[in-house]
Amino acid sequence: MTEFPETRDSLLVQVRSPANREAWDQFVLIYRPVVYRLARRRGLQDADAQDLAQQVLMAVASAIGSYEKSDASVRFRHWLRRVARNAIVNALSRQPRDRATGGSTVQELLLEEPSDDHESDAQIEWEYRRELYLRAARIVRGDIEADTWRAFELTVIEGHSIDDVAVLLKRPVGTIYAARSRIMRRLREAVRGLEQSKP
Amino acid sequence: MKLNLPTSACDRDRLESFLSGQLSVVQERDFLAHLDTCEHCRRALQQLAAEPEAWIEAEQLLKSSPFDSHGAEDDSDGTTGSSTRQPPQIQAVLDTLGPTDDPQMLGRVGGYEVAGVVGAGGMGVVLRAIDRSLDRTVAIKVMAPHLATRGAARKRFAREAKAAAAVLHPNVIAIHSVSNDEALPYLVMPYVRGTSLQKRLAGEGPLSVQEILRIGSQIAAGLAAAHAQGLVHRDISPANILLEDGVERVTITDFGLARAVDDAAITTSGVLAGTPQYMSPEQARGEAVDGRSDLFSLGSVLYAIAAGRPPFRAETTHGVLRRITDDEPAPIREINPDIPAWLCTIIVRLMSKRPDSRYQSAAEVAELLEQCLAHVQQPAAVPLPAAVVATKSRRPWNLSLQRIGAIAMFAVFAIGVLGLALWQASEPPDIAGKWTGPEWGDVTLHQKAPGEYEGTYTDTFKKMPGSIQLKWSRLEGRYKGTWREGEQRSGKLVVRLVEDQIRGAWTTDKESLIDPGTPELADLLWKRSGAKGPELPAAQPLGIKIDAGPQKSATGKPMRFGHFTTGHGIKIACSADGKLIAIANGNPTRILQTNGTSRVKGDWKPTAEVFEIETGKLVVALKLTTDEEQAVLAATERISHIEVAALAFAPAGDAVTVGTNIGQVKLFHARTGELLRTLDDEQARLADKDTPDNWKPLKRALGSVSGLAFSPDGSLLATCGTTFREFSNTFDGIERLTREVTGPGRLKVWDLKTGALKDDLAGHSHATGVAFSADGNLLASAGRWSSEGDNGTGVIIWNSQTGAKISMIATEANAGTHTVAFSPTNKLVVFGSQRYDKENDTYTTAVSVTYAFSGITEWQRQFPGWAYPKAFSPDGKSLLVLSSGQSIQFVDTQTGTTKREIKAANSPEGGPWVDFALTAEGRRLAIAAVSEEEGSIVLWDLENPSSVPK
Repeated sequence: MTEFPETRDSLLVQVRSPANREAWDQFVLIYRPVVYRLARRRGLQDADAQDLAQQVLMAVASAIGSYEKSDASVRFRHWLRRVARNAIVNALSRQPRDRATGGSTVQELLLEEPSDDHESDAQIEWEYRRELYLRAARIVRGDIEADTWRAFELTVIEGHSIDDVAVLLKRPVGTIYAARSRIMRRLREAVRGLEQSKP
Repeated sequence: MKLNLPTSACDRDRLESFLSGQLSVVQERDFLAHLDTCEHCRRALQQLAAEPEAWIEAEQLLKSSPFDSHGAEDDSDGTTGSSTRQPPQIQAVLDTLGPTDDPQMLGRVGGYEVAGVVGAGGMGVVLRAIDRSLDRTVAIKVMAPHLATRGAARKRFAREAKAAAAVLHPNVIAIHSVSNDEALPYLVMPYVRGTSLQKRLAGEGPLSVQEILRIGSQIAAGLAAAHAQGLVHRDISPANILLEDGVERVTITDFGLARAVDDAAITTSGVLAGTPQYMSPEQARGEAVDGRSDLFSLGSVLYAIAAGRPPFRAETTHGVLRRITDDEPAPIREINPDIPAWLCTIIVRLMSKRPDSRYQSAAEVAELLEQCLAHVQQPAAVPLPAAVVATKSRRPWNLSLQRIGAIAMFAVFAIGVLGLALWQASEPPDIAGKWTGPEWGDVTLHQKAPGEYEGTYTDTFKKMPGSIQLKWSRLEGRYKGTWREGEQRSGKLVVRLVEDQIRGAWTTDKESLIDPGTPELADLLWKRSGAKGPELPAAQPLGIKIDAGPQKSATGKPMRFGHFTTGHGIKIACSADGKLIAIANGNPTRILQTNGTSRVKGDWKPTAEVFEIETGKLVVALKLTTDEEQAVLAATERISHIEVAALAFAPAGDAVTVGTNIGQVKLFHARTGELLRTLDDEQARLADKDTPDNWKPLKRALGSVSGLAFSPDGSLLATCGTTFREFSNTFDGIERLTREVTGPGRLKVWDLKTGALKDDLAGHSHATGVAFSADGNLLASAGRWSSEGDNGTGVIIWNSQTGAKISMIATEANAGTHTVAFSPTNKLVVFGSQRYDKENDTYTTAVSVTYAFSGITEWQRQFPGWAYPKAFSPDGKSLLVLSSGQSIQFVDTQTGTTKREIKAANSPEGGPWVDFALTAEGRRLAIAAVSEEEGSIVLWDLENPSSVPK
C-alpha cells in the first residue's frame, strides 16, 4: 500500500534471463554517461543533463518487458540500443520543463518514433564508442604504471613526438615505442571485450 | 664490429609475444633495447598492436571534451577561437567541402580554401580559410548540415547574416559576404586572431578597472550601432566577445540569435537559446525584449569581469533563470574590493530587473563608460562624469573579508544592517562535526583554521579511513579540497552547506588507481549523523525480536531478507485483540545495488506469516497461492514474482486478509491458515481481453492491489489498486500511452458475508490508499483523479453505505497522495502527499489533518523525504508518523506538533524502519527494521521504559 513515487526503485527491471540481466547492467553503465554528454552538448546544464540521463534509462527499463515478450529474435543488446536511441533522440528534442517523474511521461519518451535524425544518430554512436574507450582506458590504466600510461597519453592522444616524450619521461626511445604499442593492444582488446561481452 | 646477437635481431614472433605480455623480464629488456635503434621493428610493432583505424579512433575518442564532467565552474559553450572538436558535426561539414589541389588544405568553399576548423556551435561550424584572390585569411561560418534542410533554420541563418551585415561598426563583426543558395549556406567574416572574453576570464580572473571600462565601452558602442539598425543581439555573453590579439579592440560576434525588434517569434526548440547565465529577466521569462535587454546582459558581463564570476549561478538551468528573475547578485565589492563604488553603481543600474530603471540607450552607456575610462587614465585631469559622482555610496565600515572571521560575534547583530545574504555569501559556514552519506560512510570534520577543515571518512576502497582537506573559497562561496586514501587513490571535492546538509560533488584524480566501477564525477550528499530532534523520553525496546522470513534458524537469529528501499516490501499488521501480529515479506531476496538497479537473489518466495506477539512464536505461514494458481503463474513469463501489497486483520475474529500485486485478495484464518475466501470480480476480469486466457482460473479482485481496509464492524472490505486493463497492459508488452482517466475499477467495496462485490466507486485515475471512519459510515480513498479539465490529487470521502461521493479534498502535491487514515473521533482524516522539488532533487511529504466533510485543513506539516502517517493512537490524541525511515513521531492531533519521537538510531538495529503497527490498546508498537541483508520486527513498549530483557 505504501507506494512511494518513482524513486530509484523504478529501475527494478524484471528481466528474467540472467544473461539479459547482465547485458542490462552493462548497458546502464555505458549509456548513462553517453546520454549525459549528449545532453550537455545540447546546452543543458549539469543537473538537467543528469536528470535526462536518468529519465532515458527509466524509459528503456520500462520497455524491457516488451522485448522479453516479443522480440526474442532480436538480440537483447541490439534491441536495447535501438530503444535507447529513440528515447535519447526524443528526450533531447523536448523542451525541458518541470514535471514529476510519472510513468506516462517515461513512456512518452519511447512511444514516438522520431524522424530520421542522422546527426543525432552519429552523435549517439560517437558518444557510445567514446564511452567504450573511456571505460577500456580505465580498465587498462588500472593495471599499469603511471609512466607507461603517460607515454601512451602524451604520444597518442596529445600527439607529442616520441623523442620529446622520451626526454620528458627520462626513458629510452625504445621503451616509449613499446609502451604505447602495448597499451594500444590492450586497449583494443578491452574495447572489443566491452562491445561483445553479452549475448 | 658488433655481432648481431640473436636477441637483437628483428623477430616478428617476438613482437607478438611482447604485445601479449609473454616475454620474460630479460627478454623484454633486450627487446626494448633493440627498439631503441630499430626503425623497422618500431613500425612493425605499431602495426601489429592494432589497425591504423584503431590508433586514430583511440586518439580521437580519448581526447577529453568539456562535457565529460564539470568542476566548480560551468564551461560556457562559446567556441570562438577554441578548437574543441565535435567530430560528427564538423566532419559532416568537412565532407561537403569541394576538392582542392592544395594538399595542406581541407577543402574548398566557394572561392576559399579551408585551412582549418575554428570551432562549432549550435547553428554551425566556423572554419578558417584563405581567400587566394585577396590573399587574406577569413572565417567562414557554415551552417550545420542537419539544419540546412530545414527551412526555418535557413531563414534564421539568413537573418543572422542580414543582421550582422547591416551593422557597420568597428566593434561588431563585419560580414564580407553571404551565400545562401548552396547546399550549405555560409557567411564569410574577417578572421580575427584573438581570444574570447570567456577564455580570458577563465584564465586570469577579474580584470582591472581600466580594462573593464575599455571593454565595456566598446561593447556598448557596438550595441548602440546594432540597436540603431533596429536589432537586439540577445546573446551578449563573455563567449561572444572577442578580444583581438595585440590590439585593444573588442568585437561582438555571433549574431545567431539576433532579432529585429519587431520580430515577435520566440524560439521554441528544446535547447535553451542563448547563454542562460547572462540573460535578462525578461528573456528568462520569455517576454518580448528590446535593446535594454542587451544592456542587462552587458551589465552581467561587466559584473563577471569585475568579480571574476558570473552574477547568477545555480546548479540547474532552471535555477539560474529563477535567480535572474528573483535574486540580486552579491555586491561586487564583497568579492573584489578593488572595484570602485561608482563602477558598481553603474553595473547595478544596468542590471536592474525592470528595463525602465536601466540606462535607456546603449549610446548613453558607451559615452558614460568612455568618460569614466578617461578619468581613470588621467584622474587629475579628467573628473568623473557628474551622473556617476552623485551616486557614490557611503559605507560605514570598509570591511575586508579577512577581518570578518575575527568579528563574527558582531556579525550576529550586524545582520539586520547589512543583510543576511551578504554574510552567507562570504562567511564560511561551520561544517565541523559528524556527517554521513552514501559512498563516504561516516565523515568527521574538524576545523583546522578559519575556513579550513580536515577530516576522515570510513567508506573507502581498502576499508582504511580516508582523509579530507577542505578550504573555503571566497570567490566561489564554497569549500574546495581533496580526499585521499593511502598513496594510490585521491581526488577533489567541492562542497557547500545547504540548510542542514552538505552537498557537492567529487572526482577521482586521473592518476589514481581507479576501481572501474567508480564514476568520474559523482554527487555528494552528507547529512548530519545523530539528527537533532526534540529530546523527549524515548520508549525502550522490549527486546522481543520476532524473526520473519521463510526459515527460522535454530539460534533464533533474524533471517536474511533482501535489502529493501524505504517503504517497499515489508508490511505489518496487528490483530484487534493484540495477540497476533502478521508480517508480509514482500520480496525477500531482491537486493538493491548501488547503481540503482536490483537483482533477484536465489529463488524468490513471498511470505506472509502470523506470529504470537507475546512469545514471538510463529503461528502459521500463509499459503498465498494455491498450487493450481502457482502453476499458472509459473507459466506466465511476464510475471516474475508476487508481492504482498497490503495486509490487514479483521476487526473481530481471527481473520487476516492479504492483497497482492497481481490483484488477488484473500482472507485467511489467522491461526490455522485456512483460506476462507478469495474475492473475485469475475465479470470485470473476464471482460478484459488482454488478460491471458490461462489466467481465467485466477480469482482476482483488481488488476493489482495497493491498499485495503476493513469496516469497523467487519462486514465490509474496501480494496483499491489498478484496473485489470492497466495491469494486463504489461502482458503484451506494448506500452500504450494511456493517460489514465477517472473511472471505475480502482476502488471496490466488498460484502464480506457473501463475498460479493458491493460497490465499484469511480472517483480516481489512480487509487493508492483506503480507510473507513470509526463509525463505519465514511470511506476515504487517496490517489489521483483526472478527467476533462479536472486533474488533481488528494482524498475523496464517500458514504460507505450508498457509495455517494461526499467531498473531495485536493492538495498541491505533484507526486501523489498515498496514504489516508481516519481519526477515532471520526471527524478528521489524515493523509500524506508527496511533492518533488526538481531544483533540489528532494521530496517532501505534506501531512495534512483535515475535516472529512468540509475539507478544511486543521493543520499541515512538511516532512522532509517521505512520511507515512499510518494511524492514530486509540485515544485519538496522537497521530503516528513514520518519517523517512528514521523515526516515528507522535504528533498532537490538534496542533500538529511532535510530542514524542522514537528514533531508529537509538534502537539496537539502527534502522531504517519501513513499517509499523500499533497494538489495539496502543501500548505497544511493532516496528519493522531493515538493514543490509536482514530485517526484523521489534516490539517497543510505549509505556514502560523497562530494562531490556536478554
